[in-house]
Amino acid sequence: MEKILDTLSDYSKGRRKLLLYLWMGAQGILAALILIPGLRYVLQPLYEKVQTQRIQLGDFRAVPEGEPTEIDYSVVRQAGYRVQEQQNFVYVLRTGNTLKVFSPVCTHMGCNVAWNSGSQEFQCPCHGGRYNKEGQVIAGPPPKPLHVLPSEVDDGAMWVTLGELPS
Amino acid sequence: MSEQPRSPALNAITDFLFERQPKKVGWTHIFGASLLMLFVIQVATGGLLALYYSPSSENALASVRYIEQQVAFGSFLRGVHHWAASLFVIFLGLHLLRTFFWGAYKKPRQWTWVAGVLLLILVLGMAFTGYLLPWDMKGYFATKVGIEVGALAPVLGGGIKRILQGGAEMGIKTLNRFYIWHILWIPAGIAALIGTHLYFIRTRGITPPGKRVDEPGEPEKPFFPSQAWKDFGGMAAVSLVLVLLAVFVGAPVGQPADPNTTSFVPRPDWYFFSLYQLLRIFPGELEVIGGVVLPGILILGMLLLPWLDRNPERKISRRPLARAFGAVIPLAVVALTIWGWRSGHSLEQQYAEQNAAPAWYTPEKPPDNDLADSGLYDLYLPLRCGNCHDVDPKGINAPPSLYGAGDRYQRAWVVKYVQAPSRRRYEDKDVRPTIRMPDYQLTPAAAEKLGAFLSGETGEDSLLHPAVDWTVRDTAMIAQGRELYQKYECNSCHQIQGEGGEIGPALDGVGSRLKPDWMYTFVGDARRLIPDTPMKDFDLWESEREALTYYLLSLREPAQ
Repeated sequence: MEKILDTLSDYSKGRRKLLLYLWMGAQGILAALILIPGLRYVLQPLYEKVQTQRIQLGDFRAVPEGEPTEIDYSVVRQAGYRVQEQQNFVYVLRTGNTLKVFSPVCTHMGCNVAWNSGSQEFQCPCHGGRYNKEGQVIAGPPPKPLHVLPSEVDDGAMWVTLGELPS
Repeated sequence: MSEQPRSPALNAITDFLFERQPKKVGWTHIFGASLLMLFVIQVATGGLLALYYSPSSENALASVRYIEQQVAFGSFLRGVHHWAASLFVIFLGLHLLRTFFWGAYKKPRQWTWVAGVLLLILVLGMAFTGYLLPWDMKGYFATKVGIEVGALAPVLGGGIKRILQGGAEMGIKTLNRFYIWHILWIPAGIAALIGTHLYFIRTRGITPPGKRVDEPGEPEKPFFPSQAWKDFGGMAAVSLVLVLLAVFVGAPVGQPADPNTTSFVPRPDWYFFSLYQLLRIFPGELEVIGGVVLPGILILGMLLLPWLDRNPERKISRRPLARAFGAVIPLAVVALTIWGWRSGHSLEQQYAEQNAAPAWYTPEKPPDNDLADSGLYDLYLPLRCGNCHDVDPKGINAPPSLYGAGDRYQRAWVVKYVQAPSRRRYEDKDVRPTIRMPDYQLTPAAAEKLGAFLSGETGEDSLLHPAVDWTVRDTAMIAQGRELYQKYECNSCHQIQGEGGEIGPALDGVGSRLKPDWMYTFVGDARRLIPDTPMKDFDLWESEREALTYYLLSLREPAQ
């Protein structure tokens, strides 16, 4: 070790010092040429855009009024290198002529909530979160109400826009 | 006689065996050797499991089942791999506790301690990334919760979540990256840290027990033979426990991951129970305290401990502050682990903990006749439901008879089921027909009609009607029924929460599916209702039938 340090101390003078700096700089650039693309490669998920999709959920008039109804849909999504059809669901609440579409994802830890018509509440199986039919938290650990997805009724049909849920 | 020069390898072995160490070193110092052995076992068994494992969401569980059921000693090796992870955490905890109480983290061994704490973090990371690999229900949802905990981190949370998932949502990319973290990057980190840890031990030596930092060491003895035999003894005991656990307990394999399920209650392995319980303790906006702040403070405190504790004493009796922390923190972790282990087993328990019972059984109103008629003429007959659902009650190898469906099924469940039918029994090509109920894409209104018609189909003359008010939730009877369920080993044929046999249908949510009188009749005299059923005849007392029915009624689906 001492030998290496002695040799390096020779390089701390004059022209040798310049050579040492040039050599270290070149090594640094070479390392950066590999490390920067490597880092960007690892961080790829941060830069991926989520596809926004507009999905039809069916006939608005067929939805019972005043009680959240589970509606299944399938959507074609690209997951990495694979394009696949995913089955999913949302809860739809019809109040008169207005429509609210809730994401079933619990805002606590991301599990799916279920509508319990007996107790008139959404219940999460993971940590016992509970929401009322408007999606507001009534008990348990969820920090926020259920996410309401952008939706509209167009010519009697319900449409929802799917994207990434806010964290 | 001229002395032959020795080879470098022989020199290294001799140096290692005759390394000098303090005389008081003994049984409390055997954990390190056992940890090294467990790491080698993990790498070896992991490498063997990887020969057959397929890291894709379609094939992962099938490949794990193949390893468990068809590859020679696959189940044993997987059991060893599974339990070695638990033993690793236990021994690492003991090793760190021993180091703490002996004051062995103090100067000049600060970095030996830091390497040990970093090892603990990586070992927990190994366990976490290993969860997801079978791509079963527990793995999927435990990972989802774990990733959401990462997302709680201030500012960086969203990015951490995306990087862990490999994108905006969990899927094939999550499995791929967890797999590579599990088999390459984290083990490489552990190996590097073990090497660093051993290097520090070799260069800084072992702490002389009880000596102040500034006191000279005490008389020494060689590692071999005394301490070497103790280490081997510890390793042999650990190996024996590992083999027994692998053979007699094994590693669980769950049901396929269903990202859309609304009823699965995920629970982590025991070493994450303390974190799991912290998440349950802090509700709402405070979740960040349980998920990030408290564990973060603990880890940071452990890492900085050698610099925070400047007391030169090593004897625990002369370190009052360390004694207090050394008692309170491990006890708190153990208490949270036990609390987490005892709570949150089921939805029912979760709501009981919130002092609010879930919706209990309520008898349904008689169906509207017009609605029932339209169910028959608009749906049941045109869809030819009777072609499969014979009117003669049969055993398990045929679609269920709908004769007396109104006595058997709760209408709300029928309405939900016909909109999204799923296989009620486990697939078995040799025993059960591969046909399954088609999905007719019924609208909610059509499902209501069909439900009304079927709920009007009563007529099971054999049905018993005990004088029990099922609408009253009797917790004592539920508890008694749970004990009877275990006593009569119902789980040898039925599953609850993925545990049990595959002969009969799973009983998750049965309380929302079947009517109580029907269950009461069936559990005591199954052939009275289904003549060909393979269900055993249990000679039950009336009170036992009642208790079992109460218990089954308590297994409710969250959504009805």
